[in-house]
Amino acid sequence: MARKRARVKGPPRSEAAKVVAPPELKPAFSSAPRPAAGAGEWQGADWLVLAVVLALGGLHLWLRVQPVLRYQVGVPAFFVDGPFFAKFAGVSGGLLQYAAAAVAQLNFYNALGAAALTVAWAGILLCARLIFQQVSTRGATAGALVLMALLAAMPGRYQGDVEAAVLGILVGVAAACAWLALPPRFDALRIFALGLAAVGLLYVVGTFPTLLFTITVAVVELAGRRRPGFALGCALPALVVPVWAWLRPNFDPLVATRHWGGGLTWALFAAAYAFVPAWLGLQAGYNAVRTRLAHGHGEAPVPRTPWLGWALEFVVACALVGATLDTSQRAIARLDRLSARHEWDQALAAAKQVRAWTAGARLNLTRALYNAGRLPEDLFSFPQTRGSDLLPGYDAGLEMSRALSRTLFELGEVNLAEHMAHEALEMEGARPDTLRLLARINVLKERPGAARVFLNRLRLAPFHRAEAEQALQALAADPRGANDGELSLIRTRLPTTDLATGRLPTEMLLQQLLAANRTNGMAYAYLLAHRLLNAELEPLVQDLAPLASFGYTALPRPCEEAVLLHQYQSGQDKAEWHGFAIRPAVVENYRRFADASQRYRDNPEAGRTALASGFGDTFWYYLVFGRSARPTVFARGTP
Amino acid sequence: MKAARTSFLLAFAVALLIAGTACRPAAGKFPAEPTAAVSRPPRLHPDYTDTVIPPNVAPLNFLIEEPGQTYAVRIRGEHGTPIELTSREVAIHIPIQPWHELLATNAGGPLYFDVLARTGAGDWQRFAPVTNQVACEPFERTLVYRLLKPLYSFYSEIGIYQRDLESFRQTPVLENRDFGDGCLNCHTTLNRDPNTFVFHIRGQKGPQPMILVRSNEVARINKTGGYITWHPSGELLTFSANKLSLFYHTVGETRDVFDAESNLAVYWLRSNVVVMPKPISLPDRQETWPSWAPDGKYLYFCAAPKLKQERFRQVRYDLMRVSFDLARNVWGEPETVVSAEETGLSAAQPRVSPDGRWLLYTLAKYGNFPIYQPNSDLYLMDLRTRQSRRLEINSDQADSWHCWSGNSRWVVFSSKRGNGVFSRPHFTYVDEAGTFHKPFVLPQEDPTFYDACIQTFNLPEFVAGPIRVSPARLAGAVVRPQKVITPVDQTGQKPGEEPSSAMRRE
Repeated sequence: MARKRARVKGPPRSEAAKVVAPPELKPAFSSAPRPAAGAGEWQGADWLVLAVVLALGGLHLWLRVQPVLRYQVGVPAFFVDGPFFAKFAGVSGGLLQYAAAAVAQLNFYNALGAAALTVAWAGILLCARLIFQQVSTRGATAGALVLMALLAAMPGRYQGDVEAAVLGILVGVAAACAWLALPPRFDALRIFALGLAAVGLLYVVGTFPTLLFTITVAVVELAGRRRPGFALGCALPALVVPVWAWLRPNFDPLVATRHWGGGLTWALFAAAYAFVPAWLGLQAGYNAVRTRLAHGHGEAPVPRTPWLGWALEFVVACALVGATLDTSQRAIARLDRLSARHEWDQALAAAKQVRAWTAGARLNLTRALYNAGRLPEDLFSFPQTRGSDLLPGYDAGLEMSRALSRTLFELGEVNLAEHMAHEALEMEGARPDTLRLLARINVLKERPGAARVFLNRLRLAPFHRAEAEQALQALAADPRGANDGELSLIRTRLPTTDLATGRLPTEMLLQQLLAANRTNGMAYAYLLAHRLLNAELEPLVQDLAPLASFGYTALPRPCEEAVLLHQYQSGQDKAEWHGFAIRPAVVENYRRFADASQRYRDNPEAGRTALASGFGDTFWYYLVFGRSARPTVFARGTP
Repeated sequence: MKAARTSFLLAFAVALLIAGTACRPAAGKFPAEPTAAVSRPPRLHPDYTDTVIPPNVAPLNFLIEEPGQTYAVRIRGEHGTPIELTSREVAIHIPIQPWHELLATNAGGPLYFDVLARTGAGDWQRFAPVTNQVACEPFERTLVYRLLKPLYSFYSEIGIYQRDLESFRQTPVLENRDFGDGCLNCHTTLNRDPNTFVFHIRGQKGPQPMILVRSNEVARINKTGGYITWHPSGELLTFSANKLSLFYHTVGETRDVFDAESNLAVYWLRSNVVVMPKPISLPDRQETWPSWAPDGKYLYFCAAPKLKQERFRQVRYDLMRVSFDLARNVWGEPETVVSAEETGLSAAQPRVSPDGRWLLYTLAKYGNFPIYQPNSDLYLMDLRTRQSRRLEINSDQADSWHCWSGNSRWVVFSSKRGNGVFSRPHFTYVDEAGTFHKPFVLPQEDPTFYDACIQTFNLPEFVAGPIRVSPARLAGAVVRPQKVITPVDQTGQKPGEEPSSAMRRE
């Protein structure tokens, strides 16, 4: 009985702990011993370092990652109404998803989004450091620094539900902190409370925060307080996850991982969740080694402020954050945002930074080129690959649905724009820009009632209320959108014949639009681009016939190059086409290209590299090598 | 310390009171003497005027679309205590208990909404009363429907939900997120019994199963079947096997569906055999939309000649029926009930009223997917005279997916009226003469609900009560089934032969 009481009142001290207790070992928040001599002076330094790192992280998020770009590529739908909340309330982890979606809306403003995430990071660091101190003050700040690096790296991937993960980790570590702060008495009651908390957390925040909470507590009890049996008891509530999954077949414990992105991003999310227990384990291991060493030398090493270690760690952390920042994805997000805002020149500038092109980015690029008056002139100034369609179908993935719907809408294919906008609505959720587009589509289709529904939904999205109300008023005053310049223009482009198909046959659609309206300049520019991308020389030169009627005063350079090639191939030797002159510089350039490519006839790979600098943005290069290359030297003549 | 705690609790209670008051602003007592009368009735949204409502319907909460600073509404019948409400908001929320009491005492009589609006000058205006009729006959307590966005090729969130029609409670029967994001469709109950139903799942690995619930037992049936219909005896399910392909138009309604191949099949539950009787699976015909008559003696369905997809506009389905003798398992010869050649239109979704008197179906210009055709309308045939007529309740948008109540007095149907994109469940009262009264939309607690609802209500079905089987159990039958049934495909069944003996012969 006496033994039992002793166990309840406090953790048993092991013999090793009695002989050489490391000065930084702390059994609990409430009964934590004062830091040993020498430790107190670097408490302030710890906080300073953490505050600086946090501030740098926030600045990185605000200025480099830019929350508005994350908003553009992946904002989850969020609405201020009961039915929307009800979708989340009934499922495990639903409330966390709801809260994360709400926080993600703050990304609408750069500073607000950065501040929100920085505050959450601060909470995590605070809790994590307190937890690390339970095992050892040594390494507590270092651990927090590494964790900060992981957290700061996550949003720079521009994929995955960062807010949900950050809030989940925050809840997990905060719950662990709160539980560890309980007085270390009444073990049975504490285990019971832990179980209850685990069940509650599973409902509110889902699997991973629950596991983080229980495992963290168990590891602290094992490594910090040296109570293996109690630690096992603390770990047991983690079984609530598999038990619930077994009891409820409709509960997928791994559902959150679907929102962790892929590859490196997934690994970052997983590492961030696993970090606190893992670091506790490392601290415990390090302590064990130190204790053994102290036995050998008869004295414990005196702790000192590890400025050098922190500096090294800081450099590594910066390297991690910098290396994982996906600048290509950031450029794609910027291109998408600027295209949505009709800032075409800036969009094209952003496109220059894209390295890994997606179908959606290509669609935005082509639209930006057209609207900047550079299609097809500068088509090959950007990476183009043979086989990629101007209006891609489902083979290109559903992620491009939103970009494709915007292109189709502007072209005049309003039905197909509606189709793709609905695919986007389904796959990406009710994003504000999709709702806005669907409202406009329905105005064009003379369904003001449906347009009103989409605008009313938009009205419930944070930061979009005023815009939606303005649009609703405009709709009430002008249900057909007759006074709306863009809608009036698109109305003139609508097809007049039906093309019933299950696919998106680019050429047929463009021809159909041109048949309906011979002045549809966008359809014409796209048709020329389509011909060039598919290297359809004969149809291209035919389609160039009405060029002047579309306001062109000169042959666009890629067309000029294609015409020249076509003339050489067909044995003609004219320096003009339908009244458009082919410039001598282009002729000269072609001769040089032909000579150079002849030299690399037996080694096309070497030719591709060698010719890229001088001819990478020419139609001839694209034709021969199946792709364009950004030229480093513009050897061609100026137009 | 105690005083501080008391003060805190008091402050908290006051805050709650203030918050509650702010949510539902009261606007004083019901005005005694209005100063002005408006000769027309007020504009209400949704349009709950001049309609017939069941005596057990949930409160018809509405918006008053008239200018005013304060509103007062008196809901009264010829009997019972009127409900008097005042509000500073245009939304009128009717208390549920007094509403049901008022409806119960006024079943078979009129129900009036007296609406008053106070203008900026402080004068009360009284509008002409809105009159609705309360029918004597209730509808079923539960409505089961599918909720989804206006889908095209891909789906993400789909669910079958049940709504208590006497209140506003909606609960999921099964959502696709419960079992890994497949597709849910074609739910159907046996004679509106909530304990016996079946639905179909798609998007799963392996066979696309049907989930069968009978007497609290949930089974996965490894057989793909669409447009499922129960024989009223519960002995067999009839379904169609379709080869549907979605395609798109560049002008007009965007979506369209072509059925390249379809036949009807019968699944005998007791013997676990699937057969394709010749009269309903002719090789040169496309049979679809099966629906049993309530007496089980006829199977109604639609059929069209096989045409290539290029001629999709010429595909028009006849409405057919074929007799069936359950005891002897004998099928008659198919007969044409509504000829596509005569109407020039294409039939779909036949549904016979439970009293056997009426046949309700849709006609559209072509094809067999009326929900995608704005011109699709509801038609009614009097089975005693075989006379059909287009219903007066049709709108200029798609009206389809209809279902009869058990007493044959109510029909629920999906209508895209008002917006052309989102279908909403509408109810209409059918009197003994077959007159369909002005439909009303399914009432919601928030009268603005539909204004911002981007989901569409699909396949509304009356069910006698709530479905008790939990979503977890239904999901379990998909992902971790305890009972799996793989029917035996038996195509060599002879006319008149018991399916079980045919199976034995195999």
